[in-house]
Amino acid sequence: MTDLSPVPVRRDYVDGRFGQIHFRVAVPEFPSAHPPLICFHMSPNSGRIYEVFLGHIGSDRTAVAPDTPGFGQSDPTPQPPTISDYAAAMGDLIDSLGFDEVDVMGYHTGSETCVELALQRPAQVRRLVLTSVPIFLEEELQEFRDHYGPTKLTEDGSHLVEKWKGHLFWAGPGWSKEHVAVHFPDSLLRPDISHWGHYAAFSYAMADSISKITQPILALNPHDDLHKHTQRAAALIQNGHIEDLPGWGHGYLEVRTEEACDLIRGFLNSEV
Amino acid sequence: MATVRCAYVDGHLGQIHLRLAGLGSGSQKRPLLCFHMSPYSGVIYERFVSELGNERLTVAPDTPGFGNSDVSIHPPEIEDYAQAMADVIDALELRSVDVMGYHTGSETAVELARQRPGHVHRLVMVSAPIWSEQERKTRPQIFSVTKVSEDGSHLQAWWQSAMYWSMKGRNLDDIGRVFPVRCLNPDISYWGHRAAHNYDLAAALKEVYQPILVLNPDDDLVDFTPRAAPLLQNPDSYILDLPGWSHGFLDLKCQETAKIVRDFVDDG
Repeated sequence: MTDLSPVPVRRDYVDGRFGQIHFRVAVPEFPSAHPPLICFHMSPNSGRIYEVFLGHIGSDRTAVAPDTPGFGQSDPTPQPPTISDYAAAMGDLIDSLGFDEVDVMGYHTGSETCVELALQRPAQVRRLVLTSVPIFLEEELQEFRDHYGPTKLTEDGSHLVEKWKGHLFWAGPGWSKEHVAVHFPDSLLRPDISHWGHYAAFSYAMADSISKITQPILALNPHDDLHKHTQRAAALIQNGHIEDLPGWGHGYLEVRTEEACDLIRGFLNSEV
Repeated sequence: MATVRCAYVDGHLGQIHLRLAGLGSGSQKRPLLCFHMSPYSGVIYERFVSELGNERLTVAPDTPGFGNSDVSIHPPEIEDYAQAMADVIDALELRSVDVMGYHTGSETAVELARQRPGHVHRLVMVSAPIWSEQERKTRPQIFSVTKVSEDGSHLQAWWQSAMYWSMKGRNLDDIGRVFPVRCLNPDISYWGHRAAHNYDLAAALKEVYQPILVLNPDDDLVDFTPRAAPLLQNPDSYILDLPGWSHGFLDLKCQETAKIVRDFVDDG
């Protein structure tokens, strides 16, 4: 019986095409036969969203959560990046760490990065776990682009209050304001370019891309701001399914860590 | 301007995150270690590290519990912070270093010089807060857990405080660049102030014989720093008043500060 007690999570840097890439990593106590799992965060957060999760899932496989360029402690790209740029940078990380075959997991923008990485490196990406599959309609995209722009800093700090309220509004069940406070500072970094992640996500042809993926996909669909958009992906996924998760929302990686690990292990460890 | 890179080293309180420039440049000048104020991180030195990194290894660690460094299990004292900074010296295999500290960091610099007299060559302190016993008792109680509020008012209060204490010319972008680290770990972000409050800086200064340059900007400690003058042991030590300078001067007066520091640490 494998010991699934949480393992320590450490942090480090590697060099990629856009500069330094910061990542969190958990390594099992004993060598694992499972491929490493690489986890990509949502915008505009960082790999911190996976910190607790890594400690748990890392008990039986190496698990890595990078900060994508321009987020957390990773260097930004010189120009607004595309999802293709993010995926290429994540490919650099995989190469630097000397991984061969990998499983990938993504959250919102990170889901698109997973899909693109699987297209860029079809032989290397074995399976995909996607938290939400953002399939946007054209009219929604315009609305989103208008909503997510550069943060306008204010003398009185009201920009902080507005952002804070937005984070609390979307907090999932069990996700307290104290939880939110742990992750909130990451959303304040580089206010001039922190919208680049969203812009890249809104420009990516997710429907077209995901329909080309032949690797197994587990799409998790918590009842968050992308719930209805994810339902649209059902007809596009060739090899996989969508797991509807009522009662789950932002923060589930910490609030329901063990349940999430069970679900994800069940998928990643299953026979094809 | 040198490229600033980031790295981690291991210390006795866990991983320590560093910003550094000038590593492997072969410079003959002594490395400079820079310790930040509470509750920020080495990010306050980012431009300064870039400015000095062309001529010497310049390193700005995040002290334990701040920035990206691991949080210690128990609230640390200044002695613990200094030990962690000594871990950085050992991990980078440095011998003689100059040290610079800002508020809490200036106490860490003094304590490091006391713990490692053979390693620390000269010190630059940004402020040297000497409190009377009465002031210690009556100072406002800022040393407690921040209550995270539903309405975000805690964030607004922090922002407005940062604005209030900023020197003239520091703009919103300058503050916006460093402010996020101020919001990290709200449950323990008072630990730095707590340690600083517990530390007997007056007694420690009397035991440090290296030359010390004390910079005294017009900030929240301007009235308390001059009291350090009679405590400085080395005849080359002195206090330099910096009227009109306040928080943000490491960015706004980056080159001037680099010259002041360079002239002092390279002298002798």
